[in-house]
Amino acid sequence: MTSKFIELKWKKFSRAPQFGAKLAIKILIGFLIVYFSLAAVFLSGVSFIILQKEFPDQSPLSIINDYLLYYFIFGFIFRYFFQTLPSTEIQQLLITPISKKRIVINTLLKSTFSIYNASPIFYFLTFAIVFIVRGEGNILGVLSWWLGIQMITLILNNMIFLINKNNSIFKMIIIIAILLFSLQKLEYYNFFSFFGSALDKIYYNPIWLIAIILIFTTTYFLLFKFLIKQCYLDKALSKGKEKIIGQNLSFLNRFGTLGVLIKNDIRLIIRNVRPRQVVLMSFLFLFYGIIFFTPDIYKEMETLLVFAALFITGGFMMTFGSYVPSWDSEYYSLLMVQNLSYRKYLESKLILMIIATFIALVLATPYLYYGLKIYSLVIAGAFFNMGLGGYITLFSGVLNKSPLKLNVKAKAFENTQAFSLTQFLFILPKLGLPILIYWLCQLVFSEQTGILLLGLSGVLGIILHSTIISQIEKVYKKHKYKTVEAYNTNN
Amino acid sequence: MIKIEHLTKIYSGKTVLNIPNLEIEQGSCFGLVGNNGAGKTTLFSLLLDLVEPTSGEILNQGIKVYKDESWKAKTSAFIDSTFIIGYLTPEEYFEFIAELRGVAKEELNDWLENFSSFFKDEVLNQKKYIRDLSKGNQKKVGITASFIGSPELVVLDEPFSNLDPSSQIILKKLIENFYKNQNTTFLISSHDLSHVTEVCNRIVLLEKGVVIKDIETNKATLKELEGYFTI
Repeated sequence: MTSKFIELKWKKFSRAPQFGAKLAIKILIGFLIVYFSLAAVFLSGVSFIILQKEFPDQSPLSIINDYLLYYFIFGFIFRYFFQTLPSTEIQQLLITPISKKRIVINTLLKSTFSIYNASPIFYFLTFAIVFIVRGEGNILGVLSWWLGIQMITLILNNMIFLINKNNSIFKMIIIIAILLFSLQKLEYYNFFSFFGSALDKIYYNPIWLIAIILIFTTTYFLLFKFLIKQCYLDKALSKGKEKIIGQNLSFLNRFGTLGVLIKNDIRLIIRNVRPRQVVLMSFLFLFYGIIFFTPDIYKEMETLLVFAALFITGGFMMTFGSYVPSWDSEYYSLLMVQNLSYRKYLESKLILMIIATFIALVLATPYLYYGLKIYSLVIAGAFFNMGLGGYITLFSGVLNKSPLKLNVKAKAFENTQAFSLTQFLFILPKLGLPILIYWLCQLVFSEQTGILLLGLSGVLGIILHSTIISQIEKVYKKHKYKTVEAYNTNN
Repeated sequence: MIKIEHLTKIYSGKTVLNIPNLEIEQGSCFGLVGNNGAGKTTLFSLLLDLVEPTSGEILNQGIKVYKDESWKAKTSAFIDSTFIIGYLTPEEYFEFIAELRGVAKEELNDWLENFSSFFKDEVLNQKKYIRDLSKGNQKKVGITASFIGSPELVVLDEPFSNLDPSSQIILKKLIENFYKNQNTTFLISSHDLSHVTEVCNRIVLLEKGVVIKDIETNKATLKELEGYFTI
């Protein structure tokens, strides 16, 4: 029976439209996964040695244990946003003569072997092996320690499905995590090291592993029971009642057609799973600067600082922007027939990106902490993003010919729908051009001139708006029929 | 109103539409019938400039549809689910279309009262996104939106399918009302011969992309069409 499921899975993959492109992407992703796993293996070995050197009087294992809870919490949050129950596949099998028990077990099995549960194998197993090879401590202890981590990972896996779509439970867990974190910061009660020492116990006394296995079996059993009961169209497989949000946006009507379109885009973002996910990701770009501005080694590598400055304010443009116009793929024909010119449509997307960049710039004010020079670089980067980056993004968007399902969560490592390889080429002008402008100017003149000219290049884009947007409109019109056709073919 | 000249559409060597000459007059209700694959939707898509013709031209009030976008101000359509924005409520969707067509909100709300029997308390004030409505109600939303802003030409692909019997009858009345009182031109394709003969004053039968019959509707039309489709 399991082979039949695998066969179905293979057919679903091999018979999908654009199979070739998808295969190429899968191979690429395969390489990436191999790369990251090797990196994890390498890092794990290195971290063991470093920990041992830096803290010779502590066991590397117990140091790692102290931080493991953070890892699990972040993993949990990540899973909550990305991991989904394959409910459509369950739905298709429901009326076949396969028993519900079998379907549920199969779903559980599939989720067990997902990429989300693989990190313990790559990272912690290597860690355990290095531990054993170096002849530290007992083998049984280390292996049970690793098995314990693997089990906790699987418990998290089951919990994600158990709280399936339930926001309030998720919020509660987050609040508890924050509470524990603040208690630790206030040095009142350190749950994190308590958790760590609990893991230490497994190492010293593998009997404790049984406790974790018991918890795992319980969650597995609960999940099984839960899923069996939920195998109805009006239970877990239903979408549930949605709350209406973002109704009061009519103030935007003042801005004419552009306002109407932007109002629609705001609703698109807040009411659909996929864009919400992408915009949340773009928020993380704001913190890029911390990585590059804090360590002293980067202070000398100025081009790298430009790169970071561009990322800080360009998050929305680089994430949400790269999928324009695929966001509207579900109803593209409607827009094409409406009393609406292509130019207005494109301008509305541009303005949306400019507004988002501006908001990011305001939020980036704390970067003043790193000094005026860094902050002026952030401002110049924002000007470039607003003035030129937006056009480049729109221009590359004409290649976006894969339809996008708005209200379906993207899977991690499958964020590649509606993203073509040719688009990678557009990253070159988006990041390369500003870095080139800056680099040349500071070479010929000075750093200040470099920053100034980088900002001015954005102003130039705004001055030439009418000419540039006409060119982009022309290209979009040329591709219109192909785009409509591609969006209308169901993915 | 509509003038089609030497229009062909060829998909990988196969001619799916070939109409040397066809004119549709202002204020008429034009019905398009034919089995699956006859080219009905292709013709509508060409008319709405969603598909590029292989050769020939379509003029909408003298405007070449693929050269100039100005016909969009007077034309509206409902072809399929790609004409619906799922994450809006029906009210917001109507407002969106009305805003693009320059209809004020108050005017829209008054006008929507004409549709209360069509909606049957299942569409307005439901606090639901369109994507959570039933297929039939989604269709009602799409069709209604295509009537907003007194367009001169309304293109409807299969408007009667997926609707319950009473809604089909109400829709027939609505269409008749619009084209008699406001001189709106309707282009309707349908598999339902009795509905289409009842509503339309002219019917064209397509087969494999070619016009087989072009009839002014009369009492004998339904029989004639049924005769054609009976194998």
